Amino acid sequence: MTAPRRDKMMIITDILGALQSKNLKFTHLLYKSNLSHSRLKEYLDELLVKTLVEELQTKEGKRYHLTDDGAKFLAEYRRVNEFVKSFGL
Amino acid sequence: MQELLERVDLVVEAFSFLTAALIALGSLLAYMKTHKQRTLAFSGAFVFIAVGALLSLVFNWFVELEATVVPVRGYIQIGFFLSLLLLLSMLSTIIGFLLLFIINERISSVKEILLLLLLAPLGTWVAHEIYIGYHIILLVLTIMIFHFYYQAHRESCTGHSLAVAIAFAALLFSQVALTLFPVLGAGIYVIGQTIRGIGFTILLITLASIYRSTRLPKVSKRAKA
Repeated sequence: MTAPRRDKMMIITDILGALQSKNLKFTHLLYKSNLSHSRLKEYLDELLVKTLVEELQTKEGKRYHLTDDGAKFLAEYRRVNEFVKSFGL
Repeated sequence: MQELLERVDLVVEAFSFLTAALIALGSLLAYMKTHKQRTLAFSGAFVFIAVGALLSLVFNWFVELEATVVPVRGYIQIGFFLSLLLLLSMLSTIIGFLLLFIINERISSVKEILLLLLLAPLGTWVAHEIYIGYHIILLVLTIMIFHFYYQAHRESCTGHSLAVAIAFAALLFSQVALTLFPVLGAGIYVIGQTIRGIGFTILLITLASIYRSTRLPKVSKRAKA
């Protein structure tokens, strides 16, 4: 059985969810979000512009961090998703 | 017994109105985030159920005041307005439950939806002629709505989906009791309305739980640059 195709919102919440517990490098995020390099780059650019994610320069290199706005967005999405699932919508 | 019946009616209708209005609001908020038409339709269904409960509340309040024969503007008896209130309350509630059925059955054809919605005024007319007809119509719709939520819970298996299925089971039991009320007497009406109140309480608790359980996630510490 094939997994259902993820829509844009699901992909974005997968990326934000992956960054929730710790800051990740691009390659780690690539595995966690299950996207191609170019597609992840596209999504990350959009999330950076919308300040849901920020780029950090560390000793080990560039890492991505979930901002407070990103955390709020993730919580709001999960709330709406739970409502939709619970009421069979 | 008559007084208890009227009091229970007032309390349950007020509570049903509050719960239905909050669910409609919650669904509208979900629509604003997801832009899914089903969430907007779901909100609409609960708006109709809330309006039905509100009109029924006003009707019951007038009945409790025993204001059935007070003349309005000198010549029209208030009884006419009460009949109109009851009729609009039944129409609004039937439309609300019918919309829930349409949403659950995922009916998308405009023709089918219009045809089904035509049943609402027809059902209201039948209910106006034979009052028990109103409860029979709602009983049939509640059976189908409960069946959907039972299946939905079997698929998702979450605590919230179970609570929603239990709430609609309570609404189904209450509808059975309200349908049997003319045969079994006023006592069963009070029991039916109480179970209905319990059903709406479970729905309200579920809604509150959904909005409380999904708090802000813990964010990882910002590494030093």
